[in-house]
Amino acid sequence: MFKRLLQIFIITFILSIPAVVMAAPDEMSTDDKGNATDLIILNNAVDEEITTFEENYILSGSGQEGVAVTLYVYNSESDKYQKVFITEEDIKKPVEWEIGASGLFAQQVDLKKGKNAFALRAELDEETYQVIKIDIKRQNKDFITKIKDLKIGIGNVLDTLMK
Amino acid sequence: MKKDKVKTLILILLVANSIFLTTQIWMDKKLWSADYNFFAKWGENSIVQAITKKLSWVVRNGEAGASFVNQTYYPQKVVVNYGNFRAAYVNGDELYTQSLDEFSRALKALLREDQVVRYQKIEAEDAWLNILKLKSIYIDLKVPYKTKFIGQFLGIKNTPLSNYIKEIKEFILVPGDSASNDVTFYIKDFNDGSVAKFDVTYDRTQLMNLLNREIPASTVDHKFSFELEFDKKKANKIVLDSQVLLPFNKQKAEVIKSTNPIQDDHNVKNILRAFKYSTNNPRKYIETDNTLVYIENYSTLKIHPDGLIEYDAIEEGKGLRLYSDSYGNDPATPSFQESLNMAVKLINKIQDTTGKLHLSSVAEDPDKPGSYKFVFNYYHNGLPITMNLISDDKDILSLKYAVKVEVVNGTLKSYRHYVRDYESIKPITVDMPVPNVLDAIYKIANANAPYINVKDLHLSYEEDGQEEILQPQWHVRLKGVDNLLMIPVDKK
Repeated sequence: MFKRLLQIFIITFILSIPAVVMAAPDEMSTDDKGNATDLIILNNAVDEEITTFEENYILSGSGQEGVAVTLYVYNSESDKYQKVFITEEDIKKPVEWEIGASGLFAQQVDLKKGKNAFALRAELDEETYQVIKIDIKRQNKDFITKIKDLKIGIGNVLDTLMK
Repeated sequence: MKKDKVKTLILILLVANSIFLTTQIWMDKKLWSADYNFFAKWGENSIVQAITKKLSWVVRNGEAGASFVNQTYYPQKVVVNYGNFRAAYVNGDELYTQSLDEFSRALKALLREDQVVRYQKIEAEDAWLNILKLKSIYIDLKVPYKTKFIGQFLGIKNTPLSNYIKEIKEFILVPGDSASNDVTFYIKDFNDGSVAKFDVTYDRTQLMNLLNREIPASTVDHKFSFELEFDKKKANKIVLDSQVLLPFNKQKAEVIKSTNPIQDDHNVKNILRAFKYSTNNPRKYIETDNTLVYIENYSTLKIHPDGLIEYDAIEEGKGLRLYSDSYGNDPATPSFQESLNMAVKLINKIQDTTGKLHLSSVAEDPDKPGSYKFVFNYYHNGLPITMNLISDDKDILSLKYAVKVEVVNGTLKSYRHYVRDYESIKPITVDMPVPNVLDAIYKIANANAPYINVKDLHLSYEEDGQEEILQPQWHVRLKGVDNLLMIPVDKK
């Protein structure tokens, strides 16, 4: 009986190994930088915060064929990066893709107002992965109107003074 | 009393209706047998034509004026950048007409003969790409046109802009600064690639309303490849030209059916009449492949069973007189606009091409004033139909266009027309992400090259003369490759 249980346990463990290591983890710590730096190149600015008024943004880049890329977003409550999920046909799926023959990728991400901290985890195989972080700040569109009004207001004041 | 008035009104309406219907019957050639139509022949009388031409001039000048939209020529796409969203409208979209109309009005203001041109050369290397990021209307004509031709498209005989730029393929229209009411055109000189800025005083209220409008939710967002840095070589194996326009949402398209409308003797007689050939006992013979060959009026006319029409004047200057048909017997050298009008009029005698045909290119013989070669291609609901007719017959050249008309001094020299009707049979959704399209391109093109350069990528149909049902495909132009690469929209 014990032998039978041990066999079942060993077989289950062996079968679960590839499933565990092939799927990207649901969470990543903020100091995880990966162990590779050349799997993908992100074309968007990564060294500084990107500012936009748009509701979505396109992350684009290039990389080796076959590299699997997964999108994460920072969660301040858990202080970790968590996988981004979308619902398609009532099924919840992570936002992930595999780089194809062209070596190019482009992924549209939705932005909430304020700061959006994303991370891309690129995996070549079980042991090799790269993490790139990118911060995008979505400004309120009303902000533009305020700046324009301010600009017009200053312009009017200057015109009056010049007269 | 009231009853009498109602009866009188009904009687008047009935009489008016019967007059209208009778006129339709009398004037419609198709309803008369043996090719006799007394009233239709009256319509071709030169005096009647001169009167109707005068009346149409009055009507035309009562309208908003010439616009790209009212011509056979119109751009394939109008790209509108709303600031946070870029839409590419094609003919058939409501906003295509509005955007193009507004663009045409502003362009006409710039091209006017009495316009004082305010010109400035832009030196910065990446200026053009930076300007494309602004709120703007961008038009790429796909082939360069002489500036004077563009003026003539809009009814302007001589434009001072020709002194600054000779050939134009691309324009960007942006609102000027907030202090003035100017608009600004940025135009790329096709000959040397330099960018020029032209400021025009213009009421830009409608332009601003257009650029600030609410965008419908179904509109497809587009990015230029330079905005994604797909025009740079990094780890990628495909490099796109900077201005390749990429869609980022699902697009609607259609499966269409291609048919040859030349099915019976009536159609053939229609064609003969268009070329002023006799329909009573015409001199003809039939080739082994059932091609009808007619010889008359110093020309030959061939009507192939697959819908190809070929006309050739035996000698230049001896062919069909188009000028007198349109403008009376004035022997003046026809202008580019007049020659184009003559060509379009002839085409429409053979097939109603309203909204279906697009001027693809114009070639002018500089040594022969009044000599033009016009090439047209079909469109269906805004998507181009690429002709790829390969012929096994060495006497028939493979066709890469739908219609080609060669006009010399108001006389037809040669005419080629692959007559086709297209109808929609099924709507489909094109939902292939851009990277998947690019992956398919690389797999099909060549895996051995270090990288591939894509010059153009757009949805289109291919007409090869064999298939009746045409599916939309991605048509790709690669650097150094003559033939287009075609990718099915659902290929992975």
